[in-house]
Amino acid sequence: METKPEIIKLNIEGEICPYPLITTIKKYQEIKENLESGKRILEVTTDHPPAYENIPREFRKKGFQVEVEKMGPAKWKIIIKK
Amino acid sequence: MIILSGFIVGLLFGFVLTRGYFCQFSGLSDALMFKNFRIIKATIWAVLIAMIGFHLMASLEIITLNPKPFFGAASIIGGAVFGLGMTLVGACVGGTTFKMGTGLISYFIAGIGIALGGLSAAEGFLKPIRLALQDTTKVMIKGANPTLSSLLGLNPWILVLILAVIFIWLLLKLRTEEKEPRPEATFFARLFKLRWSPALTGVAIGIIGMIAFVASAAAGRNYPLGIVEGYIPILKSFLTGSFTLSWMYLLIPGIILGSTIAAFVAGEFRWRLPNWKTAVIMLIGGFLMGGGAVFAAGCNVTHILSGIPQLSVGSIVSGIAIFGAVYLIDYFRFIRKKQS
Repeated sequence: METKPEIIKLNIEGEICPYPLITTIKKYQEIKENLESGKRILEVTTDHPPAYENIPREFRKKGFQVEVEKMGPAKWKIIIKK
Repeated sequence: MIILSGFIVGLLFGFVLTRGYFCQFSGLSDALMFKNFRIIKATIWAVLIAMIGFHLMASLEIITLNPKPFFGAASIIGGAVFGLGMTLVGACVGGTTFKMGTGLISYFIAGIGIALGGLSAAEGFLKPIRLALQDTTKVMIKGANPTLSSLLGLNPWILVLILAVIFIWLLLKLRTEEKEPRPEATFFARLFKLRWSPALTGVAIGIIGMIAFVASAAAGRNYPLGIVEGYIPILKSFLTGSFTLSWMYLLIPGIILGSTIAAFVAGEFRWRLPNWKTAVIMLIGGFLMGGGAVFAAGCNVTHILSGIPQLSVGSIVSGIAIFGAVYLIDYFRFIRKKQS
């Protein structure tokens, strides 16, 4: 039986632009191998509109599946997985 | 009564800024980090429309062009300090103002900083330094503030034509190759819920700029959109208790309300309090933006959206100083580290 992938949660709410994007990229570089192998999933919670617009495009280019869920007013969850 | 048009123009401007998420600082970061030229394209559209619109209106004698001064050292230093302030606040003045409308208290704090820096430079302790710097390096051509036209000795329409060709070429070059699948959406959804395209945002801003020029001139202030210029009298009125309203004074609350309406309907409004560290950074960054803007005779809106379309040399130089500073700071902050 396959083990379920570990969900790495990153909360970047309240970060000053452009840190939401920088912090996400930094986290990605930290867990890159596990993310690419499917062992881990990255869930980013943000209140910054450019994040939910740029991050999906950027990670889809890298070959990941990305879903964006609206969690409420000015709150989005971006789920990045292989 | 005509000054009420400032509030209405503000409402429209705030609404469009928020719908298009038109913050030039985040736009530059998007371009540098992700090659996402959305806001740069929107800016080119806005400048293109305003440039042609302003010159048309001037030829028809509906308005008189009024480019800002070129202060030499003050334009460059003021612009660079403004840019530094932007990197601390994480937004330009348009961005700061419309983000207030999304419920971010940190940007209200930045706004107070902008007003404090602006008032200090306009009428306070920084005024002597500002005047010394501005007066010693001011450049005029034939007794007027320089434009590309007076600088090169060319009819302005020739320059408008050349620049229009360059802008259109840039817009074509920056076209996104992979067309993103546009989701099926109603007209209401496109207007109020989905992010506006760069073209729609930019053209709308250009047209609002044209309306602003006519309305503001009628109210006694012969210039299109500006922002820091409005923060200063607002702070002053609270400090002195003397509430003299003006077109620019009313523009600011208009922008904030227009942004709030747009954010609310799009589900992008939420009250958010900053931590102490962020609050202090916002105040300092805002102060640098306000002070820098007054030294350079304008903020990024005054120069990029209103000054460059008038072919103002001062605005071109200040614009380069502002975004040159932001580019350099962000390059050393992020890009170099990313490469290593």
